[in-house]
Amino acid sequence: MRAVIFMLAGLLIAAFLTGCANASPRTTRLTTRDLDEMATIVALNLRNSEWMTTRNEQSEPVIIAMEKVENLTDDIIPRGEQWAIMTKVRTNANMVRVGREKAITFVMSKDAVLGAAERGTMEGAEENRRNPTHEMSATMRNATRSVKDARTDVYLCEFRITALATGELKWLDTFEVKRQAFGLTFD
Amino acid sequence: MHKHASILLLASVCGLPMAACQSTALRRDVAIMADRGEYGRAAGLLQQDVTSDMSNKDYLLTRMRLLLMALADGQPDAAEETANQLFSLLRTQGVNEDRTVASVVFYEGVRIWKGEPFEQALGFHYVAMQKALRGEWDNARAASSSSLFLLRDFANAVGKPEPTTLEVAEAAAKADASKPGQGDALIDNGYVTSQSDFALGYLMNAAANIAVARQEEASDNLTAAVRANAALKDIAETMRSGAFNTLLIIDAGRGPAKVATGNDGAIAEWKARTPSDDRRVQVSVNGESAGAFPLAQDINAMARSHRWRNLEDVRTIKSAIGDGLIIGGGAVLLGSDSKNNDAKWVGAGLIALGALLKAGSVADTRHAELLPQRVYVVPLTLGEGSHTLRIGIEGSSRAGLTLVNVPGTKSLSEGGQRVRLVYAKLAPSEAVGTWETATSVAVANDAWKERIDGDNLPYIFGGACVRTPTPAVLDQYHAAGHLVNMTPVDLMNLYRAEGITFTVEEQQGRFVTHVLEGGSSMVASKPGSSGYQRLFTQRRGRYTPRSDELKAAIERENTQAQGREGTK
Repeated sequence: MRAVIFMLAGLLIAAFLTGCANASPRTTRLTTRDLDEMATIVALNLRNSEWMTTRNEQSEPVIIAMEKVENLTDDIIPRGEQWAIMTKVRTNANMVRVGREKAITFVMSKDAVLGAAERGTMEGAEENRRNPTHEMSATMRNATRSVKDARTDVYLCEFRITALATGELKWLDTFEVKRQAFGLTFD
Repeated sequence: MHKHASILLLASVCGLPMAACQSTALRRDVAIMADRGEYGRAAGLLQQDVTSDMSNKDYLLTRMRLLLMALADGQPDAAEETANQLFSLLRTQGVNEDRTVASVVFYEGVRIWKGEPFEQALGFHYVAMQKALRGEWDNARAASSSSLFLLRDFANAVGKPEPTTLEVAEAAAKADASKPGQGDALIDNGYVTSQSDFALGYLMNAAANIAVARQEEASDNLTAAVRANAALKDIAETMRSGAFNTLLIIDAGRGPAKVATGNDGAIAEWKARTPSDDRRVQVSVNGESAGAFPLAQDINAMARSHRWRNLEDVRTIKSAIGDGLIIGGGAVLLGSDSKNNDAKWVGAGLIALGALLKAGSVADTRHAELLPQRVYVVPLTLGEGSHTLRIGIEGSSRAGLTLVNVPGTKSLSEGGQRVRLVYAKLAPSEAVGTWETATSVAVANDAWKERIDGDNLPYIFGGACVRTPTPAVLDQYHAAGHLVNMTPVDLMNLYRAEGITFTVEEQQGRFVTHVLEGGSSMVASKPGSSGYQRLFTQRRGRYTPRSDELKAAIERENTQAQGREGTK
């Protein structure tokens, strides 16, 4: 009889505890660590780019207005995170050094200026005051593959710096990251 | 020893399914409020049910309810955190992997509610709406893409083009009868994956792609929408041509209810609460007809389709397990001699276990109760300025819903994406206030630029103004002789003393009911929403001050007013 009791108790425990040890990733969403790594690599690539190697402290100043990341993935990237990704790149140590050594400065985005003007917290010819010469933008895309209960997402983030006067693409870099998740989708 | 072990076993058996049964059913008062269009008060109450515990089995359900009500109230900003959390968990795979055995053996209610596939698709859709209402069309695109997942189609296995869930189950039972195990094989492997027929999701995805200037992807989605629902041809062509700047989405009716039916209530079935039909929605802009538009999505039809359902088989299996164990336990008890107490205890334990399993085999009827029965999608072109829309279902005895102060063409500062989403939820009940058809604003608010009676005194002082206390607003108060010694900061401090908040950030991302409806929020519903219409087109009862500061200020104001009267 003891055996029956223990068997049933075991069944119960198993029923409620199975899977606890299963540590397979359940989502393919990007992590903060992915974004930190991306910021470091992108900033480093810009610093080592051909465009930057031709510049120095005495070069004609480049004033860059940043735009938030355009999200073309299947994943939601909240507005704050879209700006945070660009801020991570701008504030990365490599980028700070680029700014100091290559006569590059960053100014407020167009959206921020329009918003401030509408709120009445900025006066005058706001857009002219910034005088941006270049724009830095980024687009994030993904490709998804699913087989049974496994899903793989490959994220591709493309960063660009464009000269506003000519439309010339001065610099382009991409960063790729793959994420996998396991488990029933509907479950 | 055995007695104690049995008691322990019984206790553990009892505890788990009982705990599982303590699911958060939709509060009756919330259901009534939602029915009458009082979405703000409903959302305020629903916010209280939201838990941060991700292992809570109603984590998603409570968020789904809150999202639906917050959007209906025109508060997409207050729904930001809720929508992101909902999306995050809907996108997470295998959330119930740890609980699958428990759900098969005991009760499906131990599982974290993720909803049937059609509820999940609608969950993604409402997240997409929340993003679009905030002007985040790229994120709306992401969420609506997620709503278009592949479906399982048993048409070939059953030999019918559109088999019902019951017909699939019958086919599985027949297969089992011919050869044991074939039924499960049919359910596990007898389907083919097919493209979604979620027309609403395709339309939403198309709108999002148009907004972010991805015409080709938009066009593909419009083609898919028409393939899923041929009645949408004209709407798709209007959208494809780009001849619109406003997408009006209209929800109407009560969504289907999930009820337990069949032997022991082990089978869950969806019952329509608002019957399906093909009636169109009529929309007028500033008194001129914009046309009649066909239904984009019938939620009853989704609930009926086996392609949008899951887990029916598990429920049936559980009921069978329950029956079997009761017989077994009874046999042990009856068959044991009177001196064998161990056997009696074990027999009693098995009977109780069987009874519980049988009781637990009642189907899990949790569902998203606040979904609509139908959704319309109407592309419109609105000029500059504000507009009055009138929305009514063809052949309805009700006057329909009026939306005042609907904004027209978007300004650049709103983000540059030229499409605006306007969302209106028609209250299902006929017991809705006169606000539903009101055509003028009765309470001054930040989105209303014209003067109205009572706008020269804040609502908390007995007036009809709930605008943010800016210098310009204070100038209007002062010009009327009110609050003459008060600065905007002084007034703001009085609001603070009352616990009244002006931003979602101050409310820590939570939904708070508006001060006009007994709450403490001054965050206004978006113009052109059912919530804006309800909040600002009707006068409310007098505000009851809570703080000594406000009571004293009102007294001073009254004394000064009496002084002015005396001077006259």
